[in-house]
Amino acid sequence: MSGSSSIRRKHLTIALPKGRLLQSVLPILQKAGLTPEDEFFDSKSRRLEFDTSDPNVGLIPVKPFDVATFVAFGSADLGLVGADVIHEFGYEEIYIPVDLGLGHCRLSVAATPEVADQPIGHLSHLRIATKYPNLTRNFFAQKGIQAECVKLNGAIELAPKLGLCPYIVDIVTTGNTLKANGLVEMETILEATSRLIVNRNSFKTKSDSINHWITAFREAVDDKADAA
Amino acid sequence: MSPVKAALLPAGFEDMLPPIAKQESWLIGQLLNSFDSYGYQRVKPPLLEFEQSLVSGTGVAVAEQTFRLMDPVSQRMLGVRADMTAQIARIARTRLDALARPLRISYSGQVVRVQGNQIRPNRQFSQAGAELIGAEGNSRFPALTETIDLALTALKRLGIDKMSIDLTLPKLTSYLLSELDYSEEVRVQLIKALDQKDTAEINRLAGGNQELLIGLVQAAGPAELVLQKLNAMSLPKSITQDFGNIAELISVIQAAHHEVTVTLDPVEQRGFQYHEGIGFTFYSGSAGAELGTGGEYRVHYGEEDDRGEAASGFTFYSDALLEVAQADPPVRSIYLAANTKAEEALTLRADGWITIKQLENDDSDLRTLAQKFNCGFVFANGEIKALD
Repeated sequence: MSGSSSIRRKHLTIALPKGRLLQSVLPILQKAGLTPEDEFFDSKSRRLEFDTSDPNVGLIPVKPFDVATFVAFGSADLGLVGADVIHEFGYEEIYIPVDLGLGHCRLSVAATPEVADQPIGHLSHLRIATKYPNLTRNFFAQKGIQAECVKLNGAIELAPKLGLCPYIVDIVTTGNTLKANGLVEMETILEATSRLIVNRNSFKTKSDSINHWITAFREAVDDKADAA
Repeated sequence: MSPVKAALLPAGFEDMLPPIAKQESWLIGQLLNSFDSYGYQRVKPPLLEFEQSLVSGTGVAVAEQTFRLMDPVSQRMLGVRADMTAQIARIARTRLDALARPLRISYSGQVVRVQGNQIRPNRQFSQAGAELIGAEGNSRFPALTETIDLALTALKRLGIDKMSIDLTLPKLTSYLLSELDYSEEVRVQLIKALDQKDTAEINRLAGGNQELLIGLVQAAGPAELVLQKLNAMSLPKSITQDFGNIAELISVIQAAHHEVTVTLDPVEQRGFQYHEGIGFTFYSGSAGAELGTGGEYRVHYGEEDDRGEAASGFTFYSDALLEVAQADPPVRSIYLAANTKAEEALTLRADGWITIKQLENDDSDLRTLAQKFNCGFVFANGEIKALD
């Protein structure tokens, strides 16, 4: 009836993160028993939805930051995404049943060395450039500091250098990007790996097939851990 | 045309238009008829009442979701109800205190919430529900099965398909965690991790109980399978005591409603802030949100009411039902020529027609007018004529 825009969909849809993370999750996907169709690997393809070796399962590659959103709203039943994105959005409609153990990184506060040396405990307010305003605000609220977040979508390390704000909160993998931009890491907000996430409604109403894939991904992860 | 911005409504509020407005009242009517047929008597509490009574007892669950305003008359804070269950509890424990137990009550009405969420963006929607109050001791289980049977029967009457009921043990998580002796801080984090089935976080926090807690989280899905899994785990006896009831409940539901899928998720707590014993949530594979929720709880009202009464009940949400309920049965509409006599129109309506009357005869073509007003028939000169 109202509002249900029911386009005919595959039984299950999995949202995958485009870009760097995709390369690391593909082997797990394969090991779990899902091979994307050939066109999925064609960078020139304009298609947004792809078939897999399982006729009941479709794939949608989306921006990493959108994976959690697609799953929370039930547009995808399952998703593979970093814990940083999951916690930034804090969607209530998501379960996080499997740690894929990939894409290790951390969300950290960083600043120029001069700024990093100064204590911040006495401040009531900070201006911070970040792609993660919610996690940042919560982290500083715990310290009694109001974080005024300037939301940027990239090149965050530039912000202190160009005087946009003294602090940044960003994902750190090796620390090389920070170093190259003359920043030092001050504190870690969150350690993150990528996860398998499940829409709550799908979990309840398609429990047979969802449980099958949760187990398949879990076993794929355990396999990899054993092999390592 | 009026300027667009004058029609802007606050986020989460909407004008319900034809035909959805009628569809909604039809489906609420169908639900109430089902409740009537099981002997549940209707009550109609007010939209506003003193904040204190709205957010006490079962109302704590929606305290943060309640709109408040100052009553200029009593100079006290009022709340707009965000959930009707607390009002039913108040009525049952005060005004209907002297009525015979068990007490069967049904209700429907609008509720308003401070915030919508992702899958339920509406801040105003209708609730319709039924509560069976005062069935103590051995009557508790039959009371639970009666309310579930009523709920499923009522949903079926709306023509909803791919129905499933998810059972849970609302007190299990908090009970288990208190037995396992965690610090308050870890306990709170574990509750959240269990709620999100976040195995990585449970692993980090569980300190020696990983196998138990992760085993519990992973035991969710088709009810019989899950129950087998749970029985194979070495769980404390205090927790397994409800499992017998669950097993019986599963077979009772499947006997009466074999087309309904029964799932079990023992750590599910969402929407069960005040429930104990067994809780349940209704889903349809075709709906984006849950259709309704319910379970066993104790009805309390006021601070002195520490004993309370055993209760079992459920509530449906109109917004989710509208997505999946069948359309209300169509009624034939007929366009009446301006010279139609009052008695003729009366007879047509008595025969079940919806009549739409031409107000003045301005020589327009009746068939064109009939089409314009979605009528498939025309009535002129004492005759009914189909349009095509």
